[in-house]
Amino acid sequence: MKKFLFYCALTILIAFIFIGIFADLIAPMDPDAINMANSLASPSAEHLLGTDHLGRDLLSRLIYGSRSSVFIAFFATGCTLLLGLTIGLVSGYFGGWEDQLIQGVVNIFQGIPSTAFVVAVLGLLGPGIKSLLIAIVVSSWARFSRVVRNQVLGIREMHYIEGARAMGGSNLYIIRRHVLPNILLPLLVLIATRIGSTVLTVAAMSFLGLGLRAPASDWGIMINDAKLYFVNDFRVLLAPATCLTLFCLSINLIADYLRDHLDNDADTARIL
Amino acid sequence: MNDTLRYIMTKIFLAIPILIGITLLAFGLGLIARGDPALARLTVDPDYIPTEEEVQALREEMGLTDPIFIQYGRWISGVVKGDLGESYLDDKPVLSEMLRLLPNTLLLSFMSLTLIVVLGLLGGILLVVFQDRLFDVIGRILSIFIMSVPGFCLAYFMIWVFAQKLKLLPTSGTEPMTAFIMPCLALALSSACLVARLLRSSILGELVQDYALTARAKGLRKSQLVFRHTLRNALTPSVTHIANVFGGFLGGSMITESIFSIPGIGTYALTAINNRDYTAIQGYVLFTGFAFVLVCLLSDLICSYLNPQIRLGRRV
Amino acid sequence: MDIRVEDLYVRFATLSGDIEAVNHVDLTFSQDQITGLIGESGSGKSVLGLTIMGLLQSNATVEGRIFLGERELISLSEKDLCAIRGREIALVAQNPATSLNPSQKVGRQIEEVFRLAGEGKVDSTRRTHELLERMGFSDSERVMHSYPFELSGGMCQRILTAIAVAAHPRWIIADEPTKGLDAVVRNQVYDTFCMVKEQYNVSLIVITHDLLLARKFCDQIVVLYSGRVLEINTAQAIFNNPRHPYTQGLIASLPHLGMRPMPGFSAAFTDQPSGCVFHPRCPYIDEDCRKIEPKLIPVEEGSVRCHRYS
Repeated sequence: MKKFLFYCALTILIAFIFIGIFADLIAPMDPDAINMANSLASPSAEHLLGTDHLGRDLLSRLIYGSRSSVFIAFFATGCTLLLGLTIGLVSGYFGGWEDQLIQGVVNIFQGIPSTAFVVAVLGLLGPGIKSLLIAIVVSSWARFSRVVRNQVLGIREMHYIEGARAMGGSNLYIIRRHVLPNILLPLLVLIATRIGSTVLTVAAMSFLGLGLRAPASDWGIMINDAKLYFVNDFRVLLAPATCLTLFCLSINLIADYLRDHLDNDADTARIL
Repeated sequence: MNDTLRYIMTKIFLAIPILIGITLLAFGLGLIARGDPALARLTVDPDYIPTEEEVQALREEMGLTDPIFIQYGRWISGVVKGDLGESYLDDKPVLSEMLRLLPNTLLLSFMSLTLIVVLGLLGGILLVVFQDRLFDVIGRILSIFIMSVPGFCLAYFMIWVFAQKLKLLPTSGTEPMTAFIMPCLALALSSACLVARLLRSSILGELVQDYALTARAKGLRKSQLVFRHTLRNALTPSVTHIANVFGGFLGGSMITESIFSIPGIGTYALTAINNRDYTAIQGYVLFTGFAFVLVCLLSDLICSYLNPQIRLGRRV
Repeated sequence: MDIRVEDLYVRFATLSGDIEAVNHVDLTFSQDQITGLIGESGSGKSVLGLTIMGLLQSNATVEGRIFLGERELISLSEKDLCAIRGREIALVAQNPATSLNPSQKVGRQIEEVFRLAGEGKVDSTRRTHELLERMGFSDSERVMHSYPFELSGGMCQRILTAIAVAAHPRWIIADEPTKGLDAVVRNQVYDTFCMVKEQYNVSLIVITHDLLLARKFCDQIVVLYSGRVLEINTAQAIFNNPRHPYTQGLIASLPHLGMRPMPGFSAAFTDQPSGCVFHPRCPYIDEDCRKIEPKLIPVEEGSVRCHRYS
């Protein structure tokens, strides 16, 4: 059952990624083509999901929207991962005063709730894709590096690290061969949830007019556009909201499964 | 008792450098991104084009030409006295504006907190008690689904159903009190589901611990075991998570507040951001940071109460 | 009241396949005796103990019958089992350091047993004091107000024993009572159990891989291997005249008897050998051993599961 849900979720996620990459080929219409005469049209053969208040094809906008959401989510998470991983590794592996200093900075960055942080950075840098990326990375690297550091601290005490060191392995070699592979798996859950929350953040910021700006196709913007019209035609709101929910749901299911799966070895050991 | 006191003191002491760091961060953020506030202030009225001399004069008047650390010193001494500066837009003091709007945010935050605690704890315990039965399975699927619905989608959905179709609840404002129901649900529901799931898995994690076996061997029934032994030990992750969420709420939830037109800290920040009002943003970052750190401190203390090992055993 | 185990079979469903932890075991634990269950880790001895109390995880399938006197335990409802646990059969769990609730004071954890038996708060506290003093704690007041992590492993072990005897059960199942303790503390545990046996008049099942403890303490010994009973006999007979090749190997591996290790490892649960489970490691292996599973054969006062005695 769980496995089935996991594969469903994975399929959905991969589908979103593909739709994002090949948006040009898949989208039936130009997402920005305005046709006021045909605004808020109901679904028809021409417009499978109908049109929005400017007569733009809803389906095409959704498809282009998944491009921006997926792209920003993966890119931002990748940057965060890189930054957090490096800092966490240095902090945890080498320890000493560098660790103290880094942890001090991490504590400060973690001292501000992440939404407030993102909004503040965005507000100060001005809206746009670049500031959105910066805001997300700046506000979430601390959490990542903290998790990495704690993992590394645990692994550093293991005997096999000592063994590798005794055999003359350099720090870089030990980190690459022994530390990294052992922390990557637990990090997977964090990465997955991170991607989900980044998509949410992007949508929320675009919704507030702080992220991407209209007329870009983005789920957040579509929801923002829809807020004046959904009273009459709930479809314009439902479509982007469904996409967003579906994406988050698949991420949550994947993270859930990974979490269970990683714990399972320990459970089996506990029975006997 | 002595150890407990020492633990509390240590925790408070450790929070101080973080608070100082947040003031630095807030100040730095403002510094990096403020552009030229003098120019911004003079161009509030789009029809008026200021001369270079006017701008320069205002810069000096606002103290923007002084060295950075003097500016920080001036700012922080103001902060200590409760003066977060005045908004560049309307010259109203930032702190008193925020304090004026705080009650709405507080009300919303505490209502949501209550909902999360009640629903989360109740849900988590019920899921454990009915483990692997129909209630548990449906509850888990439903909760992961609700968890995945973004707050603002949920908000609009509720507006559509309860305000537009059923005409049960008002869509916006703060009066009457029922106006808070939808914002509160939009804020709290997904966190409540998350807490329920978190609590479920941590209680189940505790139930397979050795001490739970001893307790069962005494002849305790499962419900007694959960309430008397495992719940307390399983609460720590949930408390930390709730504190995180609640700390965020205190900083105002921009989206919910703006959807439901509730004048609170969040809407204040949003206006400030849209106008690039950097004193107000600074004040906002400072305020949310302090609120967050204090809430986290509180949650640490609660956890240490729940788990004596933290305050008595290993000394951090 | 004897505990009689008939054709007991316990299986765990895990991701890596089913694990047969206890495989058609017939045993009688006689009243007023101390029975030792010995075997290496994974021989199913702890599982057997937990099955008797009905304390297995939910992924376990249990078949067969367990009688406490006339009552059959496996078919009992959870509610009825709760009335038996603690009051008729009590458990001293393994790993004393983790087997007490870390966030509750020790006193409360002992009192809880009295409270469950229906006594008032004042009486429970008084009896907890008495019990702790009987267990050899001179400063029972301080111990009652300590958290488990403030006590040593040996002290936790005695607290666990106190919890077990508190409700005067007929039976105590002690799961690895000496595991991870040093020699001095092991002797203390031994003394505590001797005292408990005398003063509380309980019958004991001691699950252990500590052969020396078993020899000193037990009347009857059951040797388990891969979830099967290989040999049953009195402690004396087991140690002086071990019959099964596995038992012989165990005895020979004792430090003061030469410390000769047994070759090979016990079989993986998911991939059990056909015929006699011990045949891959047996020095006397025969054709029959590979194919036919031997029966438990009575020999003198005990019995043994090996083709060489048929």
